Amino acid sequence: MLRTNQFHVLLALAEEDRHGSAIADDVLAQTEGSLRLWPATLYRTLDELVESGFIEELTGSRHPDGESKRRRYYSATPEGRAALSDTARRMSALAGTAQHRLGKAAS
Amino acid sequence: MKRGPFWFRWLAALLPRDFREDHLEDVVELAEHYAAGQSVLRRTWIWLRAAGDMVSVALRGRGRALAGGTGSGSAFDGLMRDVHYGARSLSRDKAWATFAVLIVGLGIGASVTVFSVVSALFLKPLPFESPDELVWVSNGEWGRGQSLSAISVQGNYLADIQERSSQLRGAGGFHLFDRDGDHVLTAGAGPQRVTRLRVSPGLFETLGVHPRVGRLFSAEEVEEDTPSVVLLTHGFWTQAFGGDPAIVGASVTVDGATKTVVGVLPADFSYGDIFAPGRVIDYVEPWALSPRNFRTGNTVGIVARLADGATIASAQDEMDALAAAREAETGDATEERPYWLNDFYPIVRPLRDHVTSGFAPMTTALVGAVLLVMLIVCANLSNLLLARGTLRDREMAVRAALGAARGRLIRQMLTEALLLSGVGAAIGTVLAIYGTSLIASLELGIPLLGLAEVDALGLAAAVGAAFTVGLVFGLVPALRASDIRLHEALKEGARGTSRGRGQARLRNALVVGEIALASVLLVASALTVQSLMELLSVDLGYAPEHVVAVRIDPPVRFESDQARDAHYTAILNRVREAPGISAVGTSDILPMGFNRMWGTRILDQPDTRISPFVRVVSEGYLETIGASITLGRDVASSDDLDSPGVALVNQTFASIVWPGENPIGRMVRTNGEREIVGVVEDTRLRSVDQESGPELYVPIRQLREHGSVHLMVRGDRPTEELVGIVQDRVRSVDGAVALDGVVTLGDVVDRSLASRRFLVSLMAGFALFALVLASLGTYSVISYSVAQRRREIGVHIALGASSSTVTGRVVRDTVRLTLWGLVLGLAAAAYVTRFVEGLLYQTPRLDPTAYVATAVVLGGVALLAGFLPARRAAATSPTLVLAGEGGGTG
Repeated sequence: MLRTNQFHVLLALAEEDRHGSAIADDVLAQTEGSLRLWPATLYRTLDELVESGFIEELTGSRHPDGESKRRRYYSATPEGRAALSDTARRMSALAGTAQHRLGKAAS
Repeated sequence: MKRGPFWFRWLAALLPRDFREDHLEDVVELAEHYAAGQSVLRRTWIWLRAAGDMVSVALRGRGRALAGGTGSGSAFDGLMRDVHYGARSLSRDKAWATFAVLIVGLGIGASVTVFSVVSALFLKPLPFESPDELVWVSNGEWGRGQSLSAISVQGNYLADIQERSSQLRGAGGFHLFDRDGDHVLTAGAGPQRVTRLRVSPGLFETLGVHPRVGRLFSAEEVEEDTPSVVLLTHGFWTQAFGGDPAIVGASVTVDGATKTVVGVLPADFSYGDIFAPGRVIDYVEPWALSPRNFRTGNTVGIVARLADGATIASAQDEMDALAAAREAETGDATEERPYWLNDFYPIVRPLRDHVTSGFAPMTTALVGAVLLVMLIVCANLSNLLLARGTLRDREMAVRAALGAARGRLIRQMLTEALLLSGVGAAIGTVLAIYGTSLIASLELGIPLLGLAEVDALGLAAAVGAAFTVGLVFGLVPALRASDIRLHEALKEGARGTSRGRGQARLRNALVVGEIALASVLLVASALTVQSLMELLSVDLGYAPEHVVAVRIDPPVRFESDQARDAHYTAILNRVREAPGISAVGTSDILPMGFNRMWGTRILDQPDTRISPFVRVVSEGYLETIGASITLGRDVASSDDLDSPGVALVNQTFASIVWPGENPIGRMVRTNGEREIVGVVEDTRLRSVDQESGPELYVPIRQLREHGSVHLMVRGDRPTEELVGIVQDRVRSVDGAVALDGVVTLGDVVDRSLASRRFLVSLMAGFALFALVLASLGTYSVISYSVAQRRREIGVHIALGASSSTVTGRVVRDTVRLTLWGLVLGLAAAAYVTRFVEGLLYQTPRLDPTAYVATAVVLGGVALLAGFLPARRAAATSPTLVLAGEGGGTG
């Protein structure tokens, strides 16, 4: 299962390919401002996801046109998408259980 | 392009190399992205937070690397667990941890700042080649520090040293009498006032200075009586010529004469920072060691380099012999001696001594003060950890019961202490970097201060301080907290046990120590404040308020002496007529800065030679600054080159030369024969804290050469209005004059006290910090002891004790601690203040006011700190306490 930071980063890349600060901004937006990924943590997380094969860096011709070559763009791999959807499914199941139990406690 | 704060990049060195190479630029960019558009405070917080994140990522990365993958059980993993656990446990107590981190941060910040200043002044090598071999040869004729004329030497003696010395393998000199903005340089952009520095042959070779661009002066060029070449300083080169190397070989016009720029000096040749704080030199010209220049009096400051095997003592002996030999050749102050030849009483000292030894007392005081602050911080931190340790007895007992070894618990507590002091040190370092650059930018007249910065040594000091603080002051509480007797701790309220009593004693001792240390600081700072007050109330002999000074001498020479006199007379008259102006005059120098002496003979006393400070003034000058003439008359507008020479002397001059006699009508010879026509009240024109020396006032119209001319104006209008009036009136006579550098005499006097004010504000700041810490310490100890004795107090109240009895008992505890602290502290202060004695003006170091004030302030604040918990104790409800006891053992 993905760790919190990895989950949010993958989620940011599920929509489109992004570079570092765009990922950080998206994570901030996803979590309504409650999770700010500090720079070293973000890049460490990106390294981990690249190592696990969940994301890849866009190089050469795949680098978006008109963007500075110095900016690194990342893209989610099929394995990454699968891991994301797997985690999402589990979270959704957990959320259901929680709601069910809370509902029972309330009644 | 390098971006982000430099300290952030330094910290990045912690990161694993491959991560750094891959991502550092991205990390900085993202932090900048977060910081963009935020307030300064928020930006600083963001960078600090990003730095914290970077350190934690680095530690996790290293931890994994060391442990060989994700395996557990390595020492490093244990450490990481401790750090992690410590951070979590501290974050549960946010207010407590923030407070602890802040006091450590402030303490370390202050220490590192002071350390960086001391390092710049006394530790870091001067920016010259092998600076330890350099010596300063000055003249001891009139006692050191009296005036520039007294420390400087006549050029012929420098030539002697260059020719004859074997102990000094190189020597050169600075001409010390070039004044700010005395020259006008024209190149490209138009004319601007510039400041010249003249140097003798051999100076750059002696110092080991190499040009940044171009070359230094050639052997022929340095011998020219009228120099045809100049060197630019690095600052002027960048400011006026945009750092264009093509300037080398080009011509510039200086005071109407064409000169060739042969080179540019390096950026670290900072004459102002080292030899003349606050001065900015624009260009350098050769000053030949020629008979013509020898005749201009004591003008050179000599820097020399010790030969191999030579020492200060051997060089001193040789210089004495050299001066004596010259004396024998020329005779002693008699007829065969050339009239222009001054005496030379050589004093050889290491160059650094010459530059900074005058500031040793001030830095000693600051170092002492900051050490005291640091000790108080440590005592406070220790106290905080002890208090927290007690609260965690149960946690520790439970962990011990669950099988944690004692060593593990100690390590845990120590890690927490180190974590606190480490974060404190990081904050302190950032504070120190800002603090040091702020101090370096102040114009305090302290040499080398402009070069102060937090360097590797300063960082090492910060790290060292953090380690020491964390280790030493975390160890005692750690040992105590881990020494758990299970059954005692698990029973609520371990009071009354030997452990509880021992701890209370230790904490009491810490508070007594804090109060004692704080009272030493308070006394010292009270003394410096008092001394500054004394200085501010000194009778200067003149009244600087409501006086404006502006430099009015035009950059070009006048066609004739008559034209010059007419010019200044016209300006004086025009300004004098203006509304609101009560007095006008000119002087060639402003108070509190540049000064010089002229050797003077008394015609009816052939054996008397006196060297008064000389001021070249116009009529009305004395009235303008508010100095009174006690006898005779002022300079008159009719005192010019066609009339007999006259001069005024001050009371000191008169009483030295003609004690008990009337000086009016006596004759002196200096720059021609002069009759004494008036006596002026003594004034403190050199510095506020120095008594007046002998002074001589010479009419401006009776000299052909007189350097700069400052117009002084007294008026009852507000300063800006006064300045406006003066500028209008001067321009109506001379439309071309550059009226920059308008100052009020009050500011000039104030500025001369800048370094004293600086010392006073730092001392007062330290004392205030100490006061706050000591009162917080008292508060926490008394609160703690009240909390410990809650049941006892509850029982007392239940048995009928009134609330005033309870309050009184707690306050009595506070008084006991405070009195102990005060007695010890004041006694220590009586001894320690001898180190600031030299800095005090008209304030005895045992002055009772300072001690009484300290006792009252510190006593009052400590009592207040004890009173709050006392009131809380009195409000104790016996029912609740006793009920609490019943449930406590369950």
